[in-house]
Amino acid sequence: MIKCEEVKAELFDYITGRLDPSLSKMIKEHLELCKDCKKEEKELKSLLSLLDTVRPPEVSPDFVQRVMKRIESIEPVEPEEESFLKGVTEFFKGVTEKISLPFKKLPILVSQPIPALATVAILFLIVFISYNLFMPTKEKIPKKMEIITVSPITITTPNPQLMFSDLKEVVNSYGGKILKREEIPQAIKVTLRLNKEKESAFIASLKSLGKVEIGKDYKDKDGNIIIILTKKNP
Amino acid sequence: MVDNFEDTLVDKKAINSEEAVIKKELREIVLRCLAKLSPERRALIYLLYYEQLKYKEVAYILDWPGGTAKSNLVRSLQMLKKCLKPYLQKGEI
Repeated sequence: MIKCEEVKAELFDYITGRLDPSLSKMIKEHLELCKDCKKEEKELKSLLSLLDTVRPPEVSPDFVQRVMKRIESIEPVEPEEESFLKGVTEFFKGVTEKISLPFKKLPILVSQPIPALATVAILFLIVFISYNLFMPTKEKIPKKMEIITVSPITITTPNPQLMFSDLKEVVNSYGGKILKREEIPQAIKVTLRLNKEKESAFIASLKSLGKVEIGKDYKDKDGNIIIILTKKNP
Repeated sequence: MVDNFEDTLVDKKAINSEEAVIKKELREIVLRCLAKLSPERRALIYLLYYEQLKYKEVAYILDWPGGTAKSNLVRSLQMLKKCLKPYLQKGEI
C-alpha cells in the first residue's frame, strides 16, 4: 500500500502523465480512498491551471522553416535614403525640364543639383581642412619668433667669450644688469637691462669695444637691450 | 425583440470585457508569483511543465545532479501554492 507522502511527492508526475501505468494505477486507487491526498491533487490541478494562463504561446513544429522560407521569398528593397535622394533628383530634373530654355541651359547645379551640391560640399570640406592644417594661427606662432623681429646691436669680435667679459664690465659701470646669456652658433646673445637715461652713453661706449652695428630696434618687448657678440671670420 | 437582442449583446460584451480584465489581472498575479522564484527554479517550471522535458534532461540543462530537479520542483510548487493560495480552488469535497 502506497503512503500519503509518496503519493503527494508523485502528484505532479501523476497529473502530467509522467508515471508508468502501474504506479499511476496505485495512486489513482489511493486518491479514491484518501480525502487528504485528493484535496492535494485538486489544489495542484488548480495551481497548474493557473500556470496555464501564462503558458508561452506554442508554435507549430515547422514554424522556423516557414519563417525562413518567407524571408527568402522577400525581394530586396532599395534603402530608403537612396530612394529619397533619387526622388529629390527626379523632382529637380522635372522642374528644370519644365522651366524655359535659358534656365535649361543653366549649369550642372540646376540640372543635377544633388551631385553638384555634394561636389561643392566635398570641395568646401577639403579647402576647410587644408586651411586649418596648413595656415598657422596666431596661437601657433612661437614666442621666439617675436624676438627674431628685433634687430639687435651687433658687436663683431675675434673672441666673443672675451668680449662678453668686457661687455659685462661696461654694463656694470653704467649700473646695468645682464639678464641672460645665450650661446648661439658663432655668437653670444646677451640680454641686459639699463637705466634709460644712461642708454645713449652706454651705446656710445660700446664703440670702444670693436665694430658695432646698431639695429633699428634693439629692444625686446620688455624694454631689455639685446646685444649679439658675433665671431669675426678670419 | 430587437431591443432585447441588443441588450443581450451589450451584456455579453460587458461580461466578456470583465472576464478579460479578471484574466489579465490573474495572469499578472501568476507572473508576479513566478518572479518570486529563483531564475533556476523558474527555468525548471518552464522546462518541466511547459516544455514537458524529462527530469534528467532538465538536470542536464541546469547542470544539477540527478534527483535535484524533482526535489526543487516540489519546493517550487509549494512556494507557488503559498503565493497563489487565495486563487486556488479548495480541494474540499
